[in-house]
Formats: sequence, structure tokens, C-alpha cells
Amino acid sequence: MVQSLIHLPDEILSSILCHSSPQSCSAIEQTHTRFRSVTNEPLLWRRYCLTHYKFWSDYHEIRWKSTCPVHSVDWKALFVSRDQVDHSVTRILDGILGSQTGRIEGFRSVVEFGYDAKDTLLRHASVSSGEDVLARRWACLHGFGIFCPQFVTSCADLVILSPREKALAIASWLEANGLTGIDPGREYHALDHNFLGMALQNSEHNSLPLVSAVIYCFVARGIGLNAQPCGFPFHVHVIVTPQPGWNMDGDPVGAEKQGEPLYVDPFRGARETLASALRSQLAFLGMSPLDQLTILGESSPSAVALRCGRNILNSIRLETQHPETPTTSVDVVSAKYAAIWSVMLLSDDSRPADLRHYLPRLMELFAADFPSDLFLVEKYIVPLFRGMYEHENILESLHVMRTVDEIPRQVRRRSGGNTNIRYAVGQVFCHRRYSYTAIITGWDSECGAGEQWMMRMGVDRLEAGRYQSFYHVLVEDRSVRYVAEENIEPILLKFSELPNSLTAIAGKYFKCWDEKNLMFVSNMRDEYPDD
Amino acid sequence: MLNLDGGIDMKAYMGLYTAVHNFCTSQKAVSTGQGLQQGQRGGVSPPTVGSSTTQYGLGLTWMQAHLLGEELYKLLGEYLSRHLSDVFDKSQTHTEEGLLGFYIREWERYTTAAKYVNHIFKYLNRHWVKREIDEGKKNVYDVYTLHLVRWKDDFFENVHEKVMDAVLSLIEKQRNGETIEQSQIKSIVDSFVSLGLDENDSSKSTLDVYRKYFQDPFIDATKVYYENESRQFVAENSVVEYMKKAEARLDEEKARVGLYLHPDVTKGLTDTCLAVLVTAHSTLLRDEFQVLLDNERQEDLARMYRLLSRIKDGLDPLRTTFENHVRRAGLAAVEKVATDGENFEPKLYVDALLQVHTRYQNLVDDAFNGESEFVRSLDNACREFVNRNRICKTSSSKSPELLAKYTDSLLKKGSKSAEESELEEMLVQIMTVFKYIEDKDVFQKFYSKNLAKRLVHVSSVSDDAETSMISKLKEACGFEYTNKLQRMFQDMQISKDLNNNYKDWQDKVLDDDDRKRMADAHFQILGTGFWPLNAPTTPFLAPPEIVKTAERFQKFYFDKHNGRKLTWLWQLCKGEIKANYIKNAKVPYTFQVSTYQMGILLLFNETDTLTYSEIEKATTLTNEILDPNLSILLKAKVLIANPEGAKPEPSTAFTLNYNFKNKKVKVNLNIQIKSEQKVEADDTHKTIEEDRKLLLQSAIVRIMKSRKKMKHVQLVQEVIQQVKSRFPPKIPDIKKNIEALMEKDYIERMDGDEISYIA
Amino acid sequence: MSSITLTSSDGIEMSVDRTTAERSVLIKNMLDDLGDSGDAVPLPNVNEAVLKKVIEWCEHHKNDPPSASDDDDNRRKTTDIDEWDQKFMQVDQEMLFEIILAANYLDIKALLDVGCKTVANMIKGKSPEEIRKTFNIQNDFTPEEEDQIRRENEWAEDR
Repeated sequence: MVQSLIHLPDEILSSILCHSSPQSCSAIEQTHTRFRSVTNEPLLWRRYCLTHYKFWSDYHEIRWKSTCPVHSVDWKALFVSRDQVDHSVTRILDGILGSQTGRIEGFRSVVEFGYDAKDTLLRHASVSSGEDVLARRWACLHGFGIFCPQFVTSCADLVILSPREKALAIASWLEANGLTGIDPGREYHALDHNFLGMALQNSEHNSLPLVSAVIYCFVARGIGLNAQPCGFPFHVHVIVTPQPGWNMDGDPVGAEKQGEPLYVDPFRGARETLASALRSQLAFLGMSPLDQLTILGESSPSAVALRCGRNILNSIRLETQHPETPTTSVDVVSAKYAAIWSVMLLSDDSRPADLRHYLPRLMELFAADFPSDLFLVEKYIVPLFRGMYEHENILESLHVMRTVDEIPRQVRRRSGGNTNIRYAVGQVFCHRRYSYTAIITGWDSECGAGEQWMMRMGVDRLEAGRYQSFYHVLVEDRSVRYVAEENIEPILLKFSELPNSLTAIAGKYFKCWDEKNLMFVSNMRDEYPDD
Repeated sequence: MLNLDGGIDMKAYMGLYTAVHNFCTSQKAVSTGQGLQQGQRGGVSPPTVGSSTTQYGLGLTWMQAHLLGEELYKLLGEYLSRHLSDVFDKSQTHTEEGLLGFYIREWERYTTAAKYVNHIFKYLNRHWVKREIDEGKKNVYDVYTLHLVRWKDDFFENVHEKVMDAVLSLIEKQRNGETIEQSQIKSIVDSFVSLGLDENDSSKSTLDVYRKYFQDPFIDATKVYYENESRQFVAENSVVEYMKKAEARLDEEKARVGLYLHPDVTKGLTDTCLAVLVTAHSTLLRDEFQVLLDNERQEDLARMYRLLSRIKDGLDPLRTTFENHVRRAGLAAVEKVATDGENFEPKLYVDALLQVHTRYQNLVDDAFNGESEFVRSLDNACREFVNRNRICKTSSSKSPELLAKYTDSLLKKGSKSAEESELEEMLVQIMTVFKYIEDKDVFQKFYSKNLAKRLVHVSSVSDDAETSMISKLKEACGFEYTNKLQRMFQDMQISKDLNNNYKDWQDKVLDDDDRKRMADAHFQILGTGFWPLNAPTTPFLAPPEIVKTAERFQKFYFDKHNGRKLTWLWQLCKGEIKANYIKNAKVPYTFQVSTYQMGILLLFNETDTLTYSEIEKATTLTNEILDPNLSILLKAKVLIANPEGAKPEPSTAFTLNYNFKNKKVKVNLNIQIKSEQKVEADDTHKTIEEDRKLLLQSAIVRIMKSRKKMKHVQLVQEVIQQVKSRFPPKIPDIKKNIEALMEKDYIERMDGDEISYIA
Repeated sequence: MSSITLTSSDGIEMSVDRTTAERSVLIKNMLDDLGDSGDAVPLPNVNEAVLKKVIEWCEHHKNDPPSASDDDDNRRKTTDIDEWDQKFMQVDQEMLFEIILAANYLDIKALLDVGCKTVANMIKGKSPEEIRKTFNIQNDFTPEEEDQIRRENEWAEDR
């Protein structure tokens, strides 16, 4: 007897479809009426939805939907709508990459999709081949930057949500496994120690008390203990509170009564810290009993996130004071940027002095490295300054940035007066006098800067003076400079030999690396079509 | 099809499985219209269902497949219902244990079959059932669970009451002492437990069915049984007997759970038994408590404790009874001591207190499991009878005074207690009483007086015992409490070194001639402020021999410590003088005398007779000191009064007695004068009042300094907190001292009953 | 190691190790339920050629750890097939379907999955017309039906 696909029982067809892509499923449906029902089963489409997309915007109520009877949700329609968002995001992303203009608007559209866009961004960020790898990755990572403020809080929220046995056992387990604390000899304030992700991924698992406490809480919750971080000065502790009506030894203390909590400093190890010791420390610091009570209580997620932000800023400040300490694998600028965000958004808005203190630093970073966050600044930062004199200034600079973003770039062709420009956009070079490494991002046939600048920089003292080609360059320290041709010493290195600091930021202007010519491939063809 | 009695062979098994499989997959035959009929492939006909070869519309293929599975499932269910209705009919002929046997046999047979059928219908489980469940359908179960559901709905619902009746009557038989077949009950329990299904997830089981149909009736029956039994038993037996019975029954029921019940029943069963056996009779038990205490029935007390400790608030009334009982026992013991009049040994009093404490401490430990609440009741009672009893009636500071005296008697040389370990033991006991003393400051006063004397007179039984006691006090009351005591101790050590240095210095500086004229002396330097000692109450012109010695030492001392001031405490000094003038003795007598006595006697080196006023003038001693000292010398017959038998008064003259006789070569004339002792005790009480005032004031200032501002009431509360470890302050006293400090401008009154600190 | 005899639908007897045969949950359950009587196990739904192929697969996989039971979400995520299985599945379409049916009947989950994945890979990236060609499917839609169904599935087309 001849067996063919259409002769297989429904059960087997279903199984095959489970292993197929939704696109294949749709193709099969179109081949024969036999497949009509089996390709439209809600169970199948629910599976497609849940396996293809991890992140869902809140309005989908995806958790609730997935527990409902399968027929009560049109899963296929839901999948199709997510597919369409996916396509839109990809298209916008291509648009951002294809043009230097209108990026801000592009990013805004992406972010409006919220979490629905995250899967797509993640996928693009993990692409490892193709001609515009760098650019794609850069854009996606900036897309994530947008989630930053939400992330900081959701990280702490995670700590609050998760749901086991003895508090000290966990601490000693963590200590024995080296998951908490900092190994002797390491710089306490190293930036790495601030990040939960770094602490967990690195083999040494070094972390500041706050991060140690968060790790502890997560594990403790996993086993059903009510553990919360406690914002004690110097070292964040963990409060483990017994269930109402019980004390920490598991003895009943009478219904309605709350047993004494237990304090642990997972950073230091497996010993219980006596509440009386903590109290006397606080008394030593001159705190009133009421303040002591607040400090010895549980900290809110936002308080934890805020403190985390402050720690990061502190580490960065110390790190810049001691440049000899080993550089960190964390992107310092992004860390600083995210930390300032969290500090500004989470601190008491009754303290305008703090906000004023952080504003210039935020604006500087934002303008230089994260212009795509413009509308976030608009939405969250601007209202904070309402009624303060900075309010107008912020609006003004946002307006300028927006305008600049939307002006089409002046096209510079290599013809006419521009035939003598020696180096092309994408060239990596070393500065002859200051010996920093940088990439050329643009050029002028002669010095295009103002008279004052030229005076100050002594342009006329250069050998070739002001009438030589000048180049816009992107330096490894993220600064942007303007360099005379005579100071450019091209260097020819493999991609892997370039400094990390340079390759990490190159994506803003370049698509990928040209292995043959040992230079970056320009993503600014609208401005420099011949480079 | 389910006939497993005759067994089933592989062929039949595979045949059935294949039939189910082919039936479920047969839809492809109709839907593709190629005429492949189900059954053809495998050659086995599908079971029971009349197969249909009707051509279905193409759009209906799924419905078809769906219906097939559903139909098979439905038919299986119906078959099971028919089988179970047969089983039920048969069960009607059985009762009691017979019914249990029948139920268990049928259950085992049925569940075994269910396992087989579940495997045979595996294909239905894997696809149709799984799909229905994934889609969120209720009331669809895998085939094994379907068996359980059918059993429950079609058989169990009809028989569970009769089955439970049989089970309960079996258990009652066992409670009455008969032997029963426990395994039957166990099987029933297991069956009931298996029937509990989670509505939301049929792969999980719950105890709902077991709880409702087994546990609840079982607990009800238990309750009724023990209500009856205990009512009857109490009527016929003593409370003590009842307690034994109840305890035995509780143990028995606990063991029952392990034997054949589900552990889930433990809490409910225990609670019920306790309610019926203990709570219901708790008044009766408690009424017996006083009787047991009076008769010291430790074992029965322990049993009562065990029973009542297991019910809510069971012990609280006992605690009050216990506390009162201990207090009465303590008061009675003190009463006994006091009947012997005012002049009893401090030891007698302390021992009486200790004895009561020890007896009831042991009772708490042994019968009441050392439970902290009983310990508290004991402490409360002891605090009461230690501080407020007949002997303390006049003054609450009597207890600490007597305790301090007893301590002194232990630590002073010459007391009867010998062994070091024994002494330590006694010190520990003293601390037990000390713990209950409220006026700890009074104890401190007397203790430090006594310690000072022991040290100055070098009459301590041992340094180790002294340090041990001090460290115990320090542990109980803190550094501040023993600070002075420790300093006194240190001064003695420093003095020792100083005397050695002095000797070296003398060796260097003095020539032989000097040395001859020097009295051999030992000096103690006591820091003012640490020692509870006062300067002499009388002027005293020391004899030249002593003055010289003292001056030399002073020179040495001031060289070392420029700017210090030395005050000679003549009243505490003592020495020995040899009476070379008495010729009738082979060895000259040595008199142990006070410095004052020495001053008097040395006058007689110049002349044999002196008048009262001559002595008074030469020594400058006041009458209050001079008179008793002369009396001692007269009484000892060292001096003879003229006229004979006269008291020391201005008209009396004194002559050296050359015919002095004594059995001992060393004669101690340095005897404490009775009236001095009395005065001393009164002084001590007076200084206590002063000290308390200071303590209160410094507490107030300390508190206000740290709080700056505070309500009057709060301040009073805080002061009580701070000083209560020393003595129980009276609120009027606190208020008085607050007023006093206001007058001195330390603090001021603000609006609204607030007090503020003036920096 | 004990061995048992299996009888194919066309009456051919084959002897295999019990552990090998027990890759089939059907056979395992039956042996657990009935005990090994020594009789041949009749498999009325599987012919000799297919049964041989299935036994070959079971033989190769007899020491695999038991699959993560019913939690098939993880298993189905990937369409990767290990190299040996890929070779094993290089058979004509009819045999492929027969193996799948046999695995389904004998309740050998892992083999069923390999089969389904193989089919899924054959479908991957193909247009409806290409699929018809691959599996020799006759188009039975009316033009109207076909038009409607294409419009419904426009979203899945490459853009």
C-alpha cells in the first residue's frame, strides 16, 4: 500500500508540524484540504507563540492567556500579529542602518513596540555574519539601552518576586562556593563587582555586599524564605523574616505575632549578625531609634536599585582616579549612563540639588553616546525639572538635536575640489603627535572650523597650514576630534588586533570590517557616497 | 474484555492493543476516501464499537477522529459502570468484616485490571486523552484514572458508609482490648487515599476523598468513644489514676497512626483526643494541683504538666498557684528563723531562703521540664519572699545586710568552712540569693565595708575566693558595681610592692643607729574615694617612736609621688608591744594593741602612774575614744585603776600592773567595741540614702544630656529603668531629685510638662 | 541477557535482546504486565522489512538514557538530528512513513520524533507547490478555495 503524507494520522501530522516552522505550516495548509484542520489547531499555534516569542508587552496578558482553555484565544491571529511587529521592527532597523538621518524617530518607533520588539532586537544582536554585523549589533544594543530604566527596576523586582530552608545554610553554601564576597586582594570598588550578571558569570564571582545580598535573597526565596535586602550603611544586609506566628527557630510565638528577624551579611559569610550589634553601630552613627527602625527594615526595590546606581558611580569615580587598576570588561560609559538614569529617576524628587548635580553629566553622555534616547529624556527627565530654570535649557538642546537629526546631510563627492583627499572614511590611524588610535568618520578639503578654534589650536603653525585636508575622527576614548591630514599615520591591523574600545563604538558609523583593505566599511553613504 | 480471572496471553494483549490503535487511527481510511477499512491492516476487529465506513465530508475529518476517540472512551466508561453495578449488587450480601474483605478483594482485582487496561489503551491516552487535557477539557482522564473515577462514582458512593461502619467497629473492638486484623483497615485507608483526585490536574492526587469519607467519621467516632470512657473513668477513679489513663490513651492513639492510618490524620486525631481527654477535664486536673504540691508528688506533678502543656493555655492557672505556693513556703521558712528572736546567725537566714529555692528549682527542672514560664514564676515568688518577709518587715535592706554579713563570715579567716571547693559552692549559692535582692546597693555598701576590713586587717581567707566573689558580682551587676571593690584589691597589691621598695630604700639610706630607733612597720596606701573609710574622729598625738617611723616613710613616699597627701588612719592601725617590765614571766608578754592603746601604754615608759587628765593631754584623744580603751586595759588588768574599781573618768589615776598574768604569751587587747558596731551599721544605712540620691541625680542628668528634651513622665520611666538594677526607686524620690536639679539649673521645665536640658 | 522473539505481521519471527525490545513502551509494558512467558510477541501492525529497520534503530539506541518523559517542549524545540539517525532515515518515502507509523504503534517516542523531524526538514523552506511535488500530493482545492487560502497565508510569505 502506498503511504503518503496525506495518509498519516492526525496525531503524526501534528507532531511533524510541531517540528516545523509556522511558515512551513502555512505552506502545508495550502497544498491539500487534508491539512486544513490539522494546520489550524489552536494548540499548535499556542506552541508557536510561546516558543517563538519570549518577551511580551504587558497588554497581551500572556501568562493569563496561556492558562485559559486553548479555544478561548485566537492563537493563530496572535502569532500573525507578533510576526508583523517583528517585520516592522526589522524594517525600521534596516532604515536606521541605511541612513544617517531620522534615527531618533526610528528608535522611537521601535521602543513604542515595547517588549514586543525585544525578541527581534535580540535576534538581530546575535547575528554573527552578514555585511553589516557591526552596525546591526550597535543599533540593537542601543535599542536595549532604551530598556535600561525599566531593567534596573525589574531586576530588583525579580528579587522581590521569587519564592525555602535555613538562612545560614545558604550563606555558608554561597560562601563555600565562592558566590558571594570579594576575593582578598581584589579592589573592593572595582566596577565589575557592581553587576549581578558579572558576579554570576565570572568564575571568581566577586561582588559588592549589595550584589551578594541580592544573590542571597534570590537563592533564599527559591527555598521559600522571606529574605529581603536591608539597606544598612556600609554593607547591605539581608533580613530573613519568619512567617507570622513563628520565630526563626521554627517555634511558635503565638498567632498574629511577628517573630524576630534574622540578619545576615552574605558578603562576609555564614554568620548571623546580631540585631543588637547593628543597632549599636547605628547608635554610634548618631541615629535616632526611629531612623534605626527604618534602616533595619526591608528596603524597597527602588531603594536597592538607587543604591546600586550610587555604587556604580562611586566605582567609576574611583576607577578614574586610579587608572593603573586593571580595566574592566564592563562598558564604563554605558554603566555610568545607566547608573545616572537610575539615580535621577529613583531618588527623592524633593531634592532638586541632586538632580542638578547629575543633569549635566547625563546630558553630556546622552548627547555624545546615546542620542537615540532623546524621547526618553523628553518623557522622564524633562518633567523632573518642570519649574526649574534648567527646564528650558533641556528642551532647547533636545530641539537642536532633533533638528540636526532630521536635516539631510550635505553630500560630499570626491570630485571637483575634493580629488586630493588622501584618506577615506573608515581608515584607522594613529595620531602622529598624540599617538591615540582613531577612525576617520568624515572630511573637509580644508579646515572647516571657526577662526577662533584655528587660532587656539595653532592651525597656521602646522606645516601645511589650514589649507590641507582635515578629518572628523572617532577616538578610542569616544571623543570626536578634528585632525589635519599631516598628523594622520594610517595603521593596518587585523580586526582582532584593534582596541576593544574602538570596535565597540564603531557601529555608529560603520557597517562592518573590510578584512581585505583592513578598514571599516562606511555606513554614511548618504553623506560620503564615494567612500 | 476485562476478564482477567482467567489470565490473558500475549496474543490477546497485543490483539487488544492493536485494535485500540487501529480504531483510533482509522479516520485516515474514511477521510482519504481510499477505502482502506480499519481493521484490515492488523487483521483484528476493533472492540465493541460498530465501525462505520460512511464517507465523511472533507472538512469533517477532524471531527471524525475526535469522535472516534471520544466514543471509545465513553464506551469504556460505560463498561466499567456496568461492571461496578454488578460488584455493588454482590456487596449487598456482605456485612461488617465480611464486607471489608469483599471490598478489599474487589478493589485489588479492579486496580490490577485498571493497570492492564491502561496499558492496552495507551494509544488512547497518548493522543486523544492528552489532547483533550491540553485543550483544557475537564472530566477527561487517562484510562487508569478513569477507572478510579468510575469506582468512586459508581461503587464507592454507594458503599462507603457501610464500609466505614465496619472499619469503626473494628477499631472500637481494638480500643476495648480485642485483637483485630489491622491490615484490613490499612488496605481500606490506601484505597480511600487513591480515590482522591485533583480537580485541576488529574495526574496529581489529593487527600480530599480520604479526609471526607474516612478521617471525619473516624475522628467523630474517636471523640464519642473517649467522651464516654473518660466520663465514666473519672467518676470511678482518682484524678491521679485518671491522668495515667489519659496519658496511656494518648500514646496508644499516636501509635495507632503508625500502625494502619494515614499520617495526615495525626494532627486531627491528637487534637481531638487532647480536647476530650485533657481540655474537657482540665478544671478537675488543676484543682488537684495544690494537693499534689502540698504532698510533693513529683511524678504526678510531672504527669500533670505533660498533659496540660499540650493544650492551649493549659498551664497558666497552675503558674499562679505555683508562685503563691513557693512564696508561702519561703515566708514560712523565714518565720521559723525569726521565732528564735533577733539574734540569729545570718547563715541561718540565708540557708532558709536557699533551701526553699533549691527545693522548687528542682521541682521545676524535674517535673516541669525547666519550662521558662515556671522558672519565671519561681523567680517572682523568690523575689517576693527574699525582699518582703517577717525579718525585713522593719526595713527592706535587712536581707542584703544579712547576706553581706554571711558572705563576710565565709570570706573571713577563722570561719569554720574549710575546703576551697565547698567555699566556691557557697559563694555560688550566695549569688542565687543575691539575684533576688532588690536593694543591691545596700549589699554593695556592706560588702565593701567588710571587704575593706578584711583587706586592712589581712584577714581574708584567700585572695582567690575574694576575686571569685568579685567577678561573680561583676557578672551579675556590671563593671561599675564592682569598680571600687577591684580598686581596693589593687591598692593592696601596690602597697606590697611599695613596702618592698621602702625596705630597699631604707637599707641604702639608714645607718645602724637610725635603724635601732625605728619601729618595724608595714604601710598600706588606700586611695581616697575607693575605700569606705573615714578620717579619724579624734585628734591623736602619736608617740614619738611612731611619729619618727611615719615621718620617714612619708619622706620616702613624697619623694616618689610629689604632691600627694597622706592622711593617717590611726583608728585602723595596730601594732605589738613587748612588756619587758613584767618580771614574773620567762618570756616577755606581747600585747597586740591599737595605735591608740599603744599611745596610752607607751606613756608608762616614763612613769608608773598617770592621771586621767595627764593621759588625755598627752594623747589628745577624745573621751569617746579614750574611755573605752582605758576600760579595756583595766579589764585586762594591764593597768590598775585608782581608786580601785573606778571607771575611767577625770578623777581616776592609772598604775602599771607589774604583776600582770595571762595564760597566753600574746595578749590581744585590740578588741572591737560593741557600740562601734552598732554605729557603723547605722552609718551605712545613712550613707545609702545619700548614695541613692546621687545615683538618681546622675541618672537624670545622663538621660537629659542625651535626650535634650523629654516629657516628665517619660523621664521618670527612664530613670526607673536605669537604676532598678541597683534598687527599686520610689517615684516621689525621683520627682524630688528632678526638682533639686532644677534648682541647681541643670534642667528646666518647659511648656506642656516637658523638661529640657541646660547645657 | 535474556532475549525475546517478535513476530511480524507477515509471520516472520525475529529474536532480539529484551533491553532492545523494551525501547518500545508497548513491549515493555506488556512484558511487565504479563511476564516473559517465552512465547513469541505478535506485532500484527508491523511487517518484516519495517520491523527489521525498527530493531536496527533500537539496537543502536538501546543504552540511551530514558528521554525526559512527557515534557516534550524541550525535545521539540530543535530540529537537529544526530548523524547516525540522519543516515538511518535515508530511505524511500514509503519506508519513512512506515517507520513513523511503526514507531507510533510501538510507542517509541524518540524514533517517532526522529521520523517527524525528518519529514519536517523535508518541508522546511518549501513553497506549497514544491511540497506537493515532494510528497506527490494532488491539489484538490477549487480555484476559489485556493485563492482564499493563499490570501489567508500572505503574512508568511517572504517580504
